[in-house]
Amino acid sequence: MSQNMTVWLAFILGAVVTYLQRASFILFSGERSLPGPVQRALRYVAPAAFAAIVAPRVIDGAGMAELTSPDAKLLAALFGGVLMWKVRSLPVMLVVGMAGFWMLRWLGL
Amino acid sequence: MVIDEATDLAQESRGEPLSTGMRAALPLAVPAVPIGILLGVAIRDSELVNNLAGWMSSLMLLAGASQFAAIEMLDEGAGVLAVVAAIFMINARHLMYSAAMSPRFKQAPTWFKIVGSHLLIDQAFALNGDHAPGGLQERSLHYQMWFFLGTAIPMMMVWVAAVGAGVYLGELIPAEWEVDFAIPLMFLGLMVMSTSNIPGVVAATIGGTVAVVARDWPSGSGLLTGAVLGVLVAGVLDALLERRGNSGRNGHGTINEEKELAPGVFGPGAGKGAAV
Repeated sequence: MSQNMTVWLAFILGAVVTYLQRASFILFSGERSLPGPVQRALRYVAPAAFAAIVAPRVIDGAGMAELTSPDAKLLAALFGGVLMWKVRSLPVMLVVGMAGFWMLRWLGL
Repeated sequence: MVIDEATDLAQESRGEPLSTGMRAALPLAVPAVPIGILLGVAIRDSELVNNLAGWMSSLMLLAGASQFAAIEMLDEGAGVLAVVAAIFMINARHLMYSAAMSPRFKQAPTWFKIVGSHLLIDQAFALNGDHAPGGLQERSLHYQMWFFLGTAIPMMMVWVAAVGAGVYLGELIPAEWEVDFAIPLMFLGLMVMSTSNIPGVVAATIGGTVAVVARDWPSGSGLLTGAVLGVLVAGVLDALLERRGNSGRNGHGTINEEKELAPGVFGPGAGKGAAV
C-alpha cells in the first residue's frame, strides 16, 4: 500500500469511527430511552470531560514543586476559573485571562 | 400529517436561533484559530502526510486532539489500524456526548440526526447540552435544532479554514506568543459554566485529577478514564442526594440551588458580555 493510500485510509476509517461514536445514541437509539439515573449521570459529562481536557495542560506534573513555584499557566488558569465563576461571560474571561497570562509571562513566571 | 408538520416548522423562524447560536459560538471559534494554524503547520512539516489529506482530515474528523495524534503517528510510519485505534480512544468521549444529547433530539427529523451527529464537537456539546445555561431545553425542538446548527457550523468552517491557512500559508502567529493557551482557558470556562451543583464539582475534580495522574497513558486513555470515572461517581452521588432530598422536607433544595448558581451565560440574562 502506498503511503498516500495509508494516510487517506487512516483518515477515512478514523472519520467513520468518530462519526459512529457521535451518532451512536442520537441516530441509533430509536424509541428506547436511557434509564432515569443514567440520564441524570450524563449531565456530568461536561464538567468531567472538560476538566480532564484542561487539567493536564495547566498542571505540568512537577508535584509539590509546582505549588511552591507555580508557573504562568497554572496561575492564569486559577485566575480564569475564579473570574468565570464571578462574571459568567466567556468572552470577558478569555480576554482578561489571556492578558493575565501574558503579563505573568512578561514578569518571568 | 407530514406536510402539516413541515409547514409548522417552516412558519417558525430559523434565523433567530441560528444567529443566537452563532453569537454563542463566537468566543469559542476565536481560540480555535491559532490551534488550527498550528495543526496546519504540523501537516505541512510532516513528510509522510500529504497536505490535502491532512487538511481534509479537519472536515472528516472535526476533532483537533485526534488529528494531532493521527498526523504524528502517520508521520512516524504507523499503520492504518494503529492510527484508527488511537482515534477511537481519543474520541470516545463523543459516545457520552451522544448519549447525553439523544433525549433532546429524539423527535428531530432524520436529516438533522445525520448532519447533527457529525457536528457534535466539544464546543457544540458545551453550548447545547442540558448543563448549558439559557433554558435551551424549554425551547421548541425547532429552535434547539437551529441553535445547534448555528453553534456548530461556524465552528466547523473556522476550523477547516484555520487548518488550511496553516497548511498553505505557514506560521501566521509566532509560536512564542503561546496563543494556544487560549484553548485550555476556553475549556476551563466551559467547565465552570457547566458546573452548577456539588456532584458537578465532584465530577470535575475527579476528571481533572485522574487525567493528570494518567497523563502519560497512551492515546488519550487518561482523558477518557478521568471523564468516565467523574461521570460515574457524580452520577452515584446525584442519585444519593436525590434520594435524601426526596425523603427530607426540603425536597427541591438541589434544584433551587442549580437555578441560582447557573445564570444564563449566553441566554437573555447574559448581559452585554456575551453579545460581544
